[in-house]
Order: sequence, then structure tokens, then C-alpha cells
Amino acid sequence: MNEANGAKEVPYYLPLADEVEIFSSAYEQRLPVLLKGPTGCGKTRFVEYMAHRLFQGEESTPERRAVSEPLQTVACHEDLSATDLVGRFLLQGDETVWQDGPLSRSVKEGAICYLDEIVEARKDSTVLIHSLTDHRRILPVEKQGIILDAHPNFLLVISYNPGYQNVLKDLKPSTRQRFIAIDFDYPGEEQEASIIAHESGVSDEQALDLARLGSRVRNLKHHGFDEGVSTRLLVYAGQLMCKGVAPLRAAEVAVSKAVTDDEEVQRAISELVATIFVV
Amino acid sequence: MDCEPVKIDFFEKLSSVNARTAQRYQQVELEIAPSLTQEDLMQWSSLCCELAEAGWHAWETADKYIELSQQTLTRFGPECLVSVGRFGLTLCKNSFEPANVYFEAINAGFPELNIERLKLIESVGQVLTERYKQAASLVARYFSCGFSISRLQDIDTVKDWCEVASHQINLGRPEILALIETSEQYPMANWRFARSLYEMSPQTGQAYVLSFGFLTNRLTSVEREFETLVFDYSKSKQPMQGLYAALNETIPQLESNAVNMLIRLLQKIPRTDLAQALVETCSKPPLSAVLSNEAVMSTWIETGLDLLPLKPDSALAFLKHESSQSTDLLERLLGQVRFSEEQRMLQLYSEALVGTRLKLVANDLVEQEYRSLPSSDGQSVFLPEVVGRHEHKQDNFRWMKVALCHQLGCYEFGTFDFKYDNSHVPFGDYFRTFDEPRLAADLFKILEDGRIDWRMQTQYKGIAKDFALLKRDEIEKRPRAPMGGRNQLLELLTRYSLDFSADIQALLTSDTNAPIDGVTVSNSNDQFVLDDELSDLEAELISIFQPLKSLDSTVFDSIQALHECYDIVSQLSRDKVDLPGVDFRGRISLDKASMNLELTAIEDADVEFTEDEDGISLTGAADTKDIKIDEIKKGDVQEASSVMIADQDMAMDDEIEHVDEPGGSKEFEELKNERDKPIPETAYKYDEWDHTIEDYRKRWCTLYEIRAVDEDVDFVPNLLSEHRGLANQVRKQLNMLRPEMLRKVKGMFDGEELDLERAVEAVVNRKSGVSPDENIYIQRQRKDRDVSALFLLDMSASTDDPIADPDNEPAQVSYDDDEDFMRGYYDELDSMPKDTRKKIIDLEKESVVLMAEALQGLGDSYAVCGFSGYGRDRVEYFICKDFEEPYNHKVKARIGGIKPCRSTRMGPAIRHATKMLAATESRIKALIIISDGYPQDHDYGSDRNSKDYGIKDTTKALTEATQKGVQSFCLTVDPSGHDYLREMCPDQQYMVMQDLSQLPNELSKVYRGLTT
Repeated sequence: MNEANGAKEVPYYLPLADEVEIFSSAYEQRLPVLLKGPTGCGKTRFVEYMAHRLFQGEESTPERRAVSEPLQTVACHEDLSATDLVGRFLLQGDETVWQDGPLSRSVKEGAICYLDEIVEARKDSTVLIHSLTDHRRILPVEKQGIILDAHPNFLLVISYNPGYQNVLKDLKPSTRQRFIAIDFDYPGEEQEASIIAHESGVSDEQALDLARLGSRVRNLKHHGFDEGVSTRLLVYAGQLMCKGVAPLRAAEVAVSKAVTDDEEVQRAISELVATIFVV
Repeated sequence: MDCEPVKIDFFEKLSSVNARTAQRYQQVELEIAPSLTQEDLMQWSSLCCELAEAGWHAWETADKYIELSQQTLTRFGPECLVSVGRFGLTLCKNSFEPANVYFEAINAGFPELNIERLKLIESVGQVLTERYKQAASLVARYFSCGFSISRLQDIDTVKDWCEVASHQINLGRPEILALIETSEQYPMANWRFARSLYEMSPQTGQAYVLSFGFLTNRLTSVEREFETLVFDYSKSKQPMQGLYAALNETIPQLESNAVNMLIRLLQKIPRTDLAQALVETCSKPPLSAVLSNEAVMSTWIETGLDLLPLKPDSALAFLKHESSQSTDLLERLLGQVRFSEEQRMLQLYSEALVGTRLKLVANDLVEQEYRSLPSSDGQSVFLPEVVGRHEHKQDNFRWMKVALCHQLGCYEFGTFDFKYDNSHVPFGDYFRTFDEPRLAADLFKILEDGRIDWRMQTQYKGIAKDFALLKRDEIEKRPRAPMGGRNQLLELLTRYSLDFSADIQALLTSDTNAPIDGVTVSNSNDQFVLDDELSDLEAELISIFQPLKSLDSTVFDSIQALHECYDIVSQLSRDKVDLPGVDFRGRISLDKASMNLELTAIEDADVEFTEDEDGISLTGAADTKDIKIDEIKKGDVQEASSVMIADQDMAMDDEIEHVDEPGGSKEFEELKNERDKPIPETAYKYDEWDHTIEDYRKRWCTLYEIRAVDEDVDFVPNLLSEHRGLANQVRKQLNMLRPEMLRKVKGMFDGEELDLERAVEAVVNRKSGVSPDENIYIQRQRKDRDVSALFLLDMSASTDDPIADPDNEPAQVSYDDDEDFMRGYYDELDSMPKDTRKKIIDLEKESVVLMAEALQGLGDSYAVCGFSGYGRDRVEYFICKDFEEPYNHKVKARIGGIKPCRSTRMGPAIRHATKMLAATESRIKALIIISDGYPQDHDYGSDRNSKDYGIKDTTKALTEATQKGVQSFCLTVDPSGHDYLREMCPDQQYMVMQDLSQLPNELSKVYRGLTT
């Protein structure tokens, strides 16, 4: 559930527009940020990059550099409750010991807490967002009966995929309007090719072909897969190709069978692969 | 004692008839007298006189007898001479013509004629003469023919022929005449075999005789096989007429080796009806093209014959190539690819490749199934329905895919970016600025097609090899024969556009990374060589091509190349013969496509198009609106071309029949109106289930989707004002279906409130040591309706009947065997004065209108359609309201305009309705059929008196609908509906209306049942 990012290397991220500048500016003002976009388009990687940049990189401060875990990522799911985020009492021996959740830790330490796919979480967890994201910047810990004031360096970032969410699972306006929103989408072919080449290790030519395949398959969204094929899947395909898997087979397992069960759509994608790649 | 010479009496007698005859007599008498006894001489002379005196102009007959006398005497002796004379005299009793022919034939028959042949011919002739005394011409013709046969054939054959002739005489006068005609035409036919068939039965022999002459002329190398075939069939007493007729019809259309193959294949067929079916099937595509492929034909036939023991009807349908099993097997054996089976995948593929909404449609010209070419018009891409150019399926699929990619390439690589002087028909107007617009158009096609293919091959390396293979195939088919100068240059350009050179082999063998744009023309152009006086132009033409091969070439590069090529090619005079095109490139209606794209761009002006760096944009037209041809041409165009472009007042060239529209804004308006006009009819092909063969008849029915429906604007308003109460009632019933925005769902892991019952149970479980269930909450969930419904109305002629008294017997339409009668019946119905009583069709319409009014509030998607037609080639499907159409005044008028038509062929109508529903992709798809009787049509099954075929096909169609997720329900007003609906409708989903006034109510109940 928690992902601590202690990597010292700069996470690779290729800016597509002005998202880096917007996020930096938002952080300076401690404005909560909502990242919107389809799956696998780079939202999480962007947050990792910005966390590194702000806490360990060129925009860091000594105080922020001291934070051991600048980014607390929580992959939200439908069983995720407020308790999971804030903390709970655990039994250790014959004592009950309080264990902070990732949100509490971030609030206390002044890190970035990134709630990925927030709408998946249970309703009681989204309620916590409200008090953290307005002028109060507080986190009530009901079980301890305390209210935590957020550290000045704390920032809440959430992500949200508007494409496939059903009507029930939607962000309420009162929640949405607490965040500035940055839209993400799949990059253009050349940019995506750079990303794929870097992440998977394939040649530039093959990376461009994969990016081309991705842009073509995305023309088929609404035929059973509303999001198109993600950059992540294209990277997977590239990684398989690096290990000697033939392009047709790599695309089959990483793209066509991953995004759809419709056999004819799968065949169409296979024909696309045969059109783009030399098989 | 020597007789007194009597010649003077005979001479005088003959002289009194004809002097010349007398002289001739005298002359011959001198010659033959030494060889004759006095008695014989007397008989001979007497015969001469009797012949001469037999009648008017009988001396001519006597002349002929006298003429043959010398030879006859010498060869056959005096007895025969006299008997010949007597026989001739017998013939003269009825007419001279036969006698004349008889004598002439004998005279002409020497030296081959002998007594035996003579007697054979005479004996049959005698029978013929006695039977048909008045048929002088027939008898004459018999003798002519008989002696001719005698001259040409050996004695045994002559006997056979005479035997055959005797049989024919017994059959009748037309039969003997037919034999004579056949014998005259084919004297060398196998009379021995014919005789053997006559010994089986005269009819068998006769059938063969009447047909074989022509047949054996074409069957010389398989004559023995054919005879064995005929003998075996005849021995088993099978009717042969149909087979002979089919062979007579088919054989002229086939090459000789195909004919031989057909006869050999027929050896496998045990029955003549199957043989006839096979022959008829082989007379047309696809079998006619496959006939020489023995392996395929044998496998196909054997599979058909395997059905014979248990399903003879299936075997017959198989060999007629009417069953799905037959067509599927043949396609598999031939590696054919059928577009309709790949359509969805190709549609997805094209949508993905160019991100466009081009619709893929089959080019379904049945007669030219193998010849139809791909094409496009800016809205659709047309591909051949069947591709069977190669032996293997993968090669045929490759052809189809490359052909599609070429058409798509025109959109992706900016063919329609071309603009000319604000013209809405830019290509046509631009080509007309040349002295020979057609030449300009032809050159442009060659250059632009080449550019598109090179761009495709460069951008999509995967398909580059496929393109290269097809290009090689096309080059191999290109003409090499001597041609005029201009055609030579055009052919050279075409070949270069197909990468004709030795270097291209590198791409096709091992080196898949060989650069396409590095291809150069080999000097060793041994397959196609220009005439000496043109060879200097080759290098110049090659150099014109180079810019088109670059990675970012545009249509303007093609235009530039066009000018340069035109300057060279137009100097040579036009040839009479046109060169063939390149099949896989097909054709494209440039201006029509350009206009359609422009109109599409205008319609979609709100949508933001993404155009990546490769220029993939459907709205190329909009983006390059400002580019003027003059700007592109600045500094590039030679002076002459500039003059041509500037001169826009050129007269239209009469030869531009294949170039796009005449031009101008008026033409643009016409094209636009044509595009905006609702399409009156679109044709679809559907299979039909034949229960007798337990298989589908492939693409058996043609259904016409008709949107131009009669309108009655008053019907709906009148109905609503008359039945306001009922309308409210129906609306109320359907409103009960409207979903609550939120619905409570119990037993959830989380929710807004506790489910008390489950919570108590959980506590009890915990106290008793059992793990409690955690799903103790109640959640409020939203439920939406996702429903598409189609109301399908029977518009058959019987719905014009007034609503019957339920106690009376229902009126039945009895179908006459005569199709003309049924046509007349329908025409009469149309012309009859209208009955003012409420009709069944009125009730159907009323019910649907009330439903439509109520559905407006519910928000479900629905369509209203009707069906009728006449025959399998004309099933009519009327669309009054489509799913996306709003329920506006036009739709209301169309529903009001529904009127009774003709027959009730339900199967194809249900299949088409299912297709419409499946396309909606709704979760719930409902088909409600409102009918007044069982399915029937004049050719709905081979037995017109049986309802089974129609019922079984409809049953199958409803089953198919269920398999595709469509729930169906049949409502009928036919009191005997239980009899067939019980079988037709899956899960008993039907209702027989007893009280028709309840139809609107019942319809809403049915709707509720289906959609919840």
C-alpha cells in the first residue's frame, strides 16, 4: 500500500508542456494538486520526479533535503479506509501501540502525500482530504482524539482518471474544487518514442515504431477500451523486445491482449503491428 | 430369234415428252444394250418411259435415271439397274423430288456406293416413304443425308445409322427430321453408340442423338469418357434431357481443357440431376474459373457427394453451390478471402491506421466478383467482396490489405491537400487547364499512386514487403507487346512507379532493410525496352520521379512532376488503345473525395483535430485552404505551364469522361446535394436457412433498406386526439420503468447505513464463536437504463384486411403457382377502392405510435421499421425511425405513411433488425415483431404450398438474434398463430392477440417484460 521513494537517482520524466513549472509554482504556494489523465500516461512518474526535484534536486532546500521519505504514495482501492491512511492501534505483545498511516507521516514530516486513484477509496477516506486541502491544513486523528497541523512543507497530491470511472465513483465538486488540476495525456509520437527508448532500452527506431503503434491503437478507443494503450504498456512491449521477443508477440502480450478481449480488435492490432514492424 | 428393235417406240415416246431426254436415252441405250438381255433392255426402256411420263417435268427424273444407268449396270448388274428404276418410279408416285434426289445421290455415290449400302438406304427409305407419303421434302432429304453418310462411313456405321433412322421413324416426323439435321451437320458422329442407346430405349437414344452432335464436336478427346457416362446414366434409366441441355449451354463457354475436366469430373457423379447441377454451376463464376484445378474440384465434389446417402437435397444444393457448406469449403480450398468476414477487423484496422471514419464497404458486383477494383470517395472505401487471385488465403488477404492501405494512404499522405484557385472541384478544374486533360489526369494518377505507395512503404516498414510483392506481381502482368510512343512512356512511368528494377529483388529476398528510396533503375531493362527514338527520354523521366520518393513528399510534388512529365509525353500522339491500370491501386474519385472531406470538416468544425508531425489529418483540406497553386509553382513552373495555369477559360475537353466533375461552384452544389440527399436504398445480402438441406443458402436474399418512405402528416395528430386516454395509459405504464436515481442494495461491505438484520446476525455469530460476515451495510446505487428496442411491423398485403370478427374464420391468401398471377393480385390490391373500416395495419401503426409517445419520457433508444417485399431478391425494409433519430414530425409522418405492400419474408427482416440492434451496443436489446400471419413469400422454399421453409428460416433467424444478445417477442393478430409461433419463437416469447383493441396495452406490457 505504501511506496517509499528513497531513490537517489533522478526519476526519468520527459516534460510534455509546462506541468513542471505549474507544479513547482503550486508547491511554493502549497496548493493541493490534482493530476488528471488516463492510466499509464506518467502521472505517478511525474510526482516522483517533482518530489525528487523539490526535495533532493535543484529546487530543494536544506530542510526538505532532511526529509527521509519525501514522497508517500498510496495506491487507493475500494477497501482503503480512513484508518489505513491516518493510522491505527496495533497489538504488540500485551500493549496497544499507535502506528501512523502514510498520510499522518507526510503531514508530520512535511512530505508529499500522493493518493493515486483517490476515487477508488472508501468514502470515509475522501473526507480527510477536505480539512487538509483548505486554509486549515489540519488532519483530525479521531482515534487519538487529536488534530494534527500539517507541516509547512506538506503537500497533498491526488490523481484521478476520468475516463473509465463509473458514474457512482466520481469526485464531488466540493472535493475537486480544492485542487488545481493538471491534465495529462499520452505524448506525441516523438516524445513518446524518447520515453519508450529510455525506459525499455530499445533502439530509437523501434521506440518510434512502438510510439506509432500506440498512437494508432489509441484511435480505437471506444471499441472496448476507453483509454487506449498506455505508455506503460508500450514500455513493457519494448522491454520484451529488448529481451529478444519478436515485435508481433511482444505487442500481442503487452498491448492487444492487455487492453481488450475482443478478438477482432486484437486481430486488428496484430495487423497494425505487422504493418508497422518488420516481422 | 432376234427381237424387233423396239427402240423406235421408246424413242418416239420419249421424244413426245422431251427431245433431249429421248436423245440421251438413245445414246445410253447404245452403250448398255450389248450388256443387257432383250428382256432387261425392254424393262429398262420401259422404266425410262414410265418415269418420263409420270407427270409434269417428269422427264427430268427420267434423265437422272438414264444418266446413272451405265455406272449402275457396270457396278451392280442389270437386276439392280432395274430395281433402282422401279424404286425410283415408286417414289415418283408421290412426288418427283425424292426420286430426283434418290437418283442423283446414287450417281454421286460412286465409286464408294455398293449394293449393300444401297439396299440399306433403300430399305429405310421405303419405310419412310410408306409412312409419310406426302412428305416429299422429308423423304428427299433423307435420301440425300443417307447417301452422304454412306459415302463417308464404313458399312457397319451405315448399318448403325440406318438402325437409328428406323427408330426415329417410329418416333415421329419431327424426330426423323431432327436426325437428318443432326446427321447433315455431324455425319461423322458415333452412330454405333447411338444405336446402343436406342436399344435401351428410343427416348434415350433420341435424347442423345439430338444433343450429341454438338457435344461430340467439342468432346473429341474425352469422347470415350463421355460415352461411358451417358451409357451408365442411360442404363439406370435416369432422365438425360436436363443434363444434355446443361451441357449444350455450358460447353460453349468453357475452354477445351475445362470441358475435358468437366467430363472427367462427371464420372464421379452417380445421378443425372446432380450432374446437371454440377454442369450448370460450372458455367459461371466462381466454379468456371476453378474448373481446371482438379485437386480442388475433386475434393469439393467428393465432399458434396458424401452428403448424398443421408441428405440428397443437401448434396444437390451443395453441387449447385447454394449452400454455405459448399461456399465455405470452396473458399477454404481456394484460399479465397471474403471481405464480409474480415470487414469488422479491417474497419478497425483502417480506423486505427488513419484515425478516420471512412466506412469500408464491399464492392459486391456478382458478375464481376473477381474483377471489381478497390475505390474510395471520401466517405467510404470500397473493396471487392471476394479476392481469389492467388492460391493461398494469406496471399489473397495480403492483396486485400495492401489495396486497402493504398486507399487509406491517399488520406494519410495528403492527396486531398491539393487546392486550386478556390475551386471546389480542384482536380477536375486543374486538369482542364491542360490541352489534354485526360492525359494530365492519367499522368497524375500514375505519379500520385507511386508517391502514396512509397510513403506507405517508408512509414510502415512492416507492410513494405507486402507492397513490394504486389508491385512485382503487377509488373509481371504488365503488357510488353509493341505499343505506340506515348503508351510506351506511360508504361515506363507505370513500371517505375511499381519499382520496376532488378534492385527490388533485394527487398524480397534476404535484406529486409534495403532502402526503398535508394532504388535505381537498372540499365538491363530487358523486359520492357523503349523504342530507340524514345530511349533518350528514359533518364529524364526517371529523374522526375526522385522527389516523389522522399520521406516528406506531398501532392504538390506530384503536381510538379505532372507538369514535367506532361511536357514530355504530350509531344507524342495519342494511342488508340488504353493501357491497363494497376489493380491493387484501384481508383479514387478525386473531386468527390475532396468535396466529401471538405464537407466533413465543416460538419465537424467543433471537434479539435490532432495532427501529428507526420501529417495524419483528415482535415488536410481545411488546413491547406490558403495554399494557392501559384505560390507552389513560383520559380518552379516552366513558362508554358504558367500560361496553362493562368488560362482558366479553357474550353472543356470532350475526352475527359473519366475525370471528375465539370467544375465550378454549381457543380459543387450538385455534389453537395447528392451527398446530403438521403440514400433511397441500400442493399444488403443475407443468408437464408434451408431446412431441407440443413444448411444456409449463402447470401441468398437481397434486402433493400429504404428510408424514402411515404408520409402521412395527419395520422399521428389524429390518433393522439382520438385516443388521448389510451396514450396516457400507455405512458403511465412505461413510466413505471423509469429507474429511481438511486437504489438501495443490501449486503455491501460499506454503505451509508447499517443493514440491521445482517448486523444482528453478525453479532450473534461473533458471540457464538463463528466469524461474522462483514457485509452488513446498505448502499445506494444508481441504476441507469441502457435499452435499445426495435419495433418491426409486418407490412404484407394481408394487413390491409379489415380487423376481422374474432368469431369468424380468418381469411387465407391462397398462393397460385403462377407468379404473374400473384403480381397481378398485388397490383389489383393497390388499385382497389379503399375500405374505410379499420385495418390491421392501422392497428399496428397505432400501437407503435402510442409506444413511441410513451418512450419519449422513458429515454430508451428505439427504432420503428417495417418489412415486406416480393421474392428473395427484393426484400424491402423500411426505416421510419432509426435509433439516433429524434421523434420529430418527419418521423411521425413516416410512421403514419406505413401502408400494406406485398409478402412476408420474415427471416431477412429479422436478421437486418438484429444487425441494427447489435450495432447499438446497448446492454438490453429488444426486438418486437408485430405481424398478422405466418411468414410467406412466393419463393420462400421450393414447395410453395408448404409453410415449413418460411417458419423454419424465421425460427433460425430468431435463434441467431438470441445468440447475438437480442431478445425477441412476436405479437400476432393471426388467431392460428399458436400453430407456428410455438415453434418459431424461442422460450415461447410470443402472444396471439384475441382482442385486437388490446394491442397497445399488451405491447407496453411486453416492452416492460423485455426491458427490465
